[in-house]
Amino acid sequence: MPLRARIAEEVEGLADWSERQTRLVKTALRGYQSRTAEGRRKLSWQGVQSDIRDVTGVGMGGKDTLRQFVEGGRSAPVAERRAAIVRFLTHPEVDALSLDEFLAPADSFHAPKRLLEYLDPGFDGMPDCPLPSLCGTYEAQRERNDRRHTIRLVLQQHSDARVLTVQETHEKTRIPQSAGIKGKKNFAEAYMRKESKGWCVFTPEDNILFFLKEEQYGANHYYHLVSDVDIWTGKPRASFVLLRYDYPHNTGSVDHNTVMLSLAMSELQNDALFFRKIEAEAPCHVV
Amino acid sequence: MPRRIGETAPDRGGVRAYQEAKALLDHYLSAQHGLRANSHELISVVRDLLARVEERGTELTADEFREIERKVDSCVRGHYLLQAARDGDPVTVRRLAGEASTPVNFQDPRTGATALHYMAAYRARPALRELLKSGRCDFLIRDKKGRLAWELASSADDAAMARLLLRKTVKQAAEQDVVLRRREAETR
Repeated sequence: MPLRARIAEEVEGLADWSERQTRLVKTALRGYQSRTAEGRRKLSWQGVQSDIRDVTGVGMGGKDTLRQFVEGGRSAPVAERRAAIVRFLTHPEVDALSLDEFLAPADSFHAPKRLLEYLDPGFDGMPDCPLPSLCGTYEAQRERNDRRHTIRLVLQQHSDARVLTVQETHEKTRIPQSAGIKGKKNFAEAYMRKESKGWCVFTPEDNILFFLKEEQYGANHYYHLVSDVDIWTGKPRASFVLLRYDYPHNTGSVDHNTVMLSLAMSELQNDALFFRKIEAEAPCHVV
Repeated sequence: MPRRIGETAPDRGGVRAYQEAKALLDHYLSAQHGLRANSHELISVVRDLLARVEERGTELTADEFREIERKVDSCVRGHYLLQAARDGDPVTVRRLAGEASTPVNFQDPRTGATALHYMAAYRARPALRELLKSGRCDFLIRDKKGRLAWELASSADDAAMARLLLRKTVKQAAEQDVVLRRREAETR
């Protein structure tokens, strides 16, 4: 389908941009602004607005609309202007955004649904799922060496009641006691922050399996319950313990079963995380 | 077919060369605690080198041995640096980036990302500061999705880091007369 027709059909019909699409557009606009720098001077945001008007015939309203959107955290412009921005960025002569990437499908939930089908023992059907009582924001902390890892899970209801969507933020910071005078300047600054998204399902054995994918480079990791959450009471949970997996543990060249097991178990202890609810209800998120 | 590590090489000279190189590999692998991802790439690099040695069936010269050692060392250092970047570990980054033999622009064989890409994606500012001090970063390297490091900082919502990296990217592009175009992913 020609580019113009695809934009008319698929972009102009979008009710709103997703968070991912918004970030892509902002990055593309920043890239265009710097790419078109003359000498060492960047094109101004008004200059970018003017280029958009020249290519699409659509103005952005106020002089500062685009800068406020890209740099100031203002929400995306109205539908007609949003479509014009995409039309401009994907224009062959501008070529700052790939339409395929922009229109890539949102997170797919086929996998958890198929997994639930597989997990069903096939006798009475799966019981009514009590997962919504788990909705909320949970936090776990782990300290190793002089670093603190804070892992936050936001569990939200999915349109299929047997699935919850999960957003995870993993932040590594300095432990307060270990901050010397020299470290005070950047004390609040995180060493790193990783964001992952995924889902969890409830198994017939009262376990909960979490599958999460890191957003930028797609690394996977998983959790499962190690403490009974007594979920059938239907009362909101205040806490639970999860075991986290990513890479297998390095037990070196040890080949003795007892030693190997002991090394693996000591590593596993660090992967058991106590999550405490810090916000009662995460906003409902129906996909 | 390249021989697998642990298999016997064809003749005496080859055996010796093979054993020396294998001992070298074992030495590096045993020292790689914390290097949990992509060690298969390191092994494949060394397997390839060993296969070439075996094909010749002769002893390694001192120069050839040093060449293997240099390649393995560079590969291990590159992987260590990537691991430190993913962990946002400024202390390890400072140590590695300060050593001339560390390839600071080493690319992850799976994703094509450099340490700079990982630091930008994970908003690892303290580690980034240490890496930039080396003065050897290449801001124009794209990962396998065609992304420059500054784009990842922008996607990770770290506007200040994105501005800094974008400025350096544009400067390097101007110095090398490179035209910055939209990314063209290697795997699309």
